[in-house]
Amino acid sequence: MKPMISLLVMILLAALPMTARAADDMAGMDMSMPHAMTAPAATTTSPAGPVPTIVVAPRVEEGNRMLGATVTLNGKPLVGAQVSFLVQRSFGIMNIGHDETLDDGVAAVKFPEGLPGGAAGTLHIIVRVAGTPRYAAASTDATIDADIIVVPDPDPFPRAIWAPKAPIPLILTLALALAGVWTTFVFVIIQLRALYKAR
Amino acid sequence: MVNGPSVPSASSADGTPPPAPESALARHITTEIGTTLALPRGGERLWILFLLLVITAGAAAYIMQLIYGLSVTGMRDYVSWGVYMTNFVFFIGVSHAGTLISAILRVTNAEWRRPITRMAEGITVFALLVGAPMVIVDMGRPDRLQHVILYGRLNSPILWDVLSVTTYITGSFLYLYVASIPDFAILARQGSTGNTFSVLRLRIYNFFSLGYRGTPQQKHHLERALGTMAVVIIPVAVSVHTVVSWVFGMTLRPGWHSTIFGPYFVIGAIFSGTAGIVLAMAVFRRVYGLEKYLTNRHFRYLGTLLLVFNILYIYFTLSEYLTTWYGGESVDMRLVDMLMGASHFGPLFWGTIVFGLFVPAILLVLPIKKTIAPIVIAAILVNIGMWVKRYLIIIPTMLTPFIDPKAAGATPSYIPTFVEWMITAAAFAFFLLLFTMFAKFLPIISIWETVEGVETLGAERTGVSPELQKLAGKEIQ
Repeated sequence: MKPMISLLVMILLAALPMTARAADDMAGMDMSMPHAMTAPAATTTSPAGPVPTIVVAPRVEEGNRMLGATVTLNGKPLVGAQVSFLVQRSFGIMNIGHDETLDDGVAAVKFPEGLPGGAAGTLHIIVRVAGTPRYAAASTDATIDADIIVVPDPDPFPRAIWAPKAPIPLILTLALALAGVWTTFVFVIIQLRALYKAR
Repeated sequence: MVNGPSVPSASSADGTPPPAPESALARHITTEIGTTLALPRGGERLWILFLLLVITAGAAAYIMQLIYGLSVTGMRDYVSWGVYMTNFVFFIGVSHAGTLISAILRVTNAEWRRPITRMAEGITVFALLVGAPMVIVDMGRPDRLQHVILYGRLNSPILWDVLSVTTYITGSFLYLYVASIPDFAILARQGSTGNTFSVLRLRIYNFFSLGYRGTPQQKHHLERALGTMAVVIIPVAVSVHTVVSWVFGMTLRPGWHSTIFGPYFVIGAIFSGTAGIVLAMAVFRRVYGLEKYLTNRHFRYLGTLLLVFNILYIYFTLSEYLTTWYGGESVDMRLVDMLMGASHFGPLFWGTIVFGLFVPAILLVLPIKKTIAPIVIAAILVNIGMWVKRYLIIIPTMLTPFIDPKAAGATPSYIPTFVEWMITAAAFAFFLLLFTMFAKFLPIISIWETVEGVETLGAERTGVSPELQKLAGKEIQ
């Protein structure tokens, strides 16, 4: 018995630091994952230099729907800035285009037509301006209306592991099978009790 | 249904009627088989010590895994089921020995089963006790095991597996116990076993005998209990391995999502289970000199069963891979190329096909009647082959996701580490230790069933040595 207790204690002692380390790992985890896009507009991502200001808005240029970003530095249009346009998707950030600002500080890419906007019908746009020795890198995000609204199916995978409820027929089948077998076990135990009483 | 045992009764210190006269055959068999119950000596002690050392090393490896996590294994993001799950499927498969040999042969009144039922039932229980926890060993956070119950979803085949394996373990324990009650009664009297048991041990035997004295009423209840268990344990066993296959088959992965996976796994389980019982019989026959009880005939009959399941398994394997290969789906072909091609799985796959399936089949059809060696060699090859086959079912599929890893710039691989091998070795050692200790606690050959078989049906039909027949019918007080 003693060796068994010792082994149990060893396992418990071994498990303690594991749990502590797991907690440390969680604490040190990089929480700035793509899905946590709650940063305020025009945040600096580089410490050096003044921070450009970015304003995002859909626009029409020569009859084409565009997604534009007006970049200013100290209230004046910033010319020649490298601007990336991205959109937040379920599992990451998708690049939808890149442009350089013109004299009016505007960079624009083709509007992401056909990109589903989810249940709310909106697209979460992220615009990043690359930093240079003259000014710091900057980023902002904005929500715009998408062309396509996806109405979620309330029960798309009724038998999937992540589905909220198991189908009734499945529950009934499992319950009946298990009840049948365990009832038989109980019957056998009743027979053993009768055997004991007949001693 | 079984016939009632004709074995003598337990002690009657409480004033119950004295034991019935014991036949010379019962006394002879009890004495001979009772020698296996003696305390371990010499080689047996060394064997147990060796097993304990391997188990200790495995326990240390597992503690290391608990401390450092699954990073000490070869499992990574692509392969999350390695040799641990291979062991799980293998042991659950071996556990089918008890169902096949004991329950199916009991239900069909195959009388030659009598000397081997206890071993088969023991294999079932111990294989389950070792196999089921392998799932926990595979878990990165075993401290969250209770989440399976707290947050388990009936939608998940994994929960079905938990429910069916738990039911199977309970049923197997119950079946083994019910079939052992008359032998507990015999052991409670200790005299005829030729051993001197301690008071505690006698009390344990007496407790588990439930006061069995072989009265007609008690025989009736024992018959009903045993007959019922023999019938119900068969579908339970079949369902367990079907559900194990569904853990794989319900996922949309190449090599797993197949409608024949249920029967394929069940046949594979009975195949390896039969090979397991052949090996156990060979070892116990050799170690304890039980040639009179485990005769060449038993090996030949089991060899025939093994051959049948061997051919069936070849058929299922051909059907499974031919369909996949002929279909030519790109992701399936990546798997087939990996399995049968130039990767390191190729030699393993073809080695399993040749040495685990075809060579045993050839050995089993050899017209040799005087020696059991070919059947035992076939059983060894089958067991090794079936372990590797389970490895090949699990690992290559995990290395073949639908999106080609090359497209993602990844080169997934899996090589089991020393920690995994040590835990695997400890699992096998634990299985062997449980079996060794079991043989020291209960007669490895069912005394009452063998006595009853020889007395009522004769040595010929029971498959035991004709020498025992000469003692049948003689009674001593």
